[in-house]
Amino acid sequence: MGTLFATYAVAWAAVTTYVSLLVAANVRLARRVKSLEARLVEQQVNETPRTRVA
Amino acid sequence: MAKHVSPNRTRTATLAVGALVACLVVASTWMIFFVAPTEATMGDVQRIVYLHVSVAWCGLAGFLAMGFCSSVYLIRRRLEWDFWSRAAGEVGWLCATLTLVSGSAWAHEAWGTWWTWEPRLTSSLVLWVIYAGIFLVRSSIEDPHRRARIGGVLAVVGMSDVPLVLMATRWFRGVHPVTPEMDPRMRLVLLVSVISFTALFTYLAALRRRQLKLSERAMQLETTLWRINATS
Repeated sequence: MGTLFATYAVAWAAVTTYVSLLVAANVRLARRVKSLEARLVEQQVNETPRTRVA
Repeated sequence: MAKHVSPNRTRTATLAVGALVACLVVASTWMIFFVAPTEATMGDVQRIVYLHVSVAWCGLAGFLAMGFCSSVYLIRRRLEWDFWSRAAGEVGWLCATLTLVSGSAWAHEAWGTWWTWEPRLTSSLVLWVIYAGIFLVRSSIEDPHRRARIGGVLAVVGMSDVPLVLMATRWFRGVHPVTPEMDPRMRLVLLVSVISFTALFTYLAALRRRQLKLSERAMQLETTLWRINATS
């Protein structure tokens, strides 16, 4: 029984860790993309006519 | 260029599918422990087989998917296919690791040894090493298209070990069971387990692919902002 539970425990620990890392990375990246898009819009609004020509 | 990814739009769908997959996995785990009958010779330890067969299937499917997506990348040269290839391969590699761990635990109880150089086990270990090598090579290349091209060729070549793993029990003499006779309830539990693990690992691959796509989008935006700042 010990081997059985240990095997399932290892498998679920590995899967849970992977899921947690994936979800955390996805949330962090989604926030980063959102903030970068906002900054890009801000930069384009504040763009001067001279830089637009360039 | 990759399409724009809206973080809000996909969040609800991701959570809903995740909840569904979690329910499936919980149900299959419950079936493994409470529905499947106890095997006469090995007793409760035989329940490792439901996990072992499911992750072994997902591992091989992951490597086949990696090879297929890499082939499509090599033909079309679109990074989207490389994201799928990498995601499927990584999840496949996780499954292959779990296959080796669960198989080793099962072998300890059934054969009295954690490891034996038997054809199925050896070819599975070779496959695990091949894919670990591919990920190491990929991680050392910075240019995305060069990384996808070299990784793609290696994935297609590495895929040639998959039939060897599948047929090892038939082509060579070994101690690994081929297709043992099973009680219909055991067969049902195994089927549900394989389906739920396939759903879980497909979901994980989709999450990983989304992460890769988001990080590419972030890199594109950073480059654009840098260019704007450099010209102003």
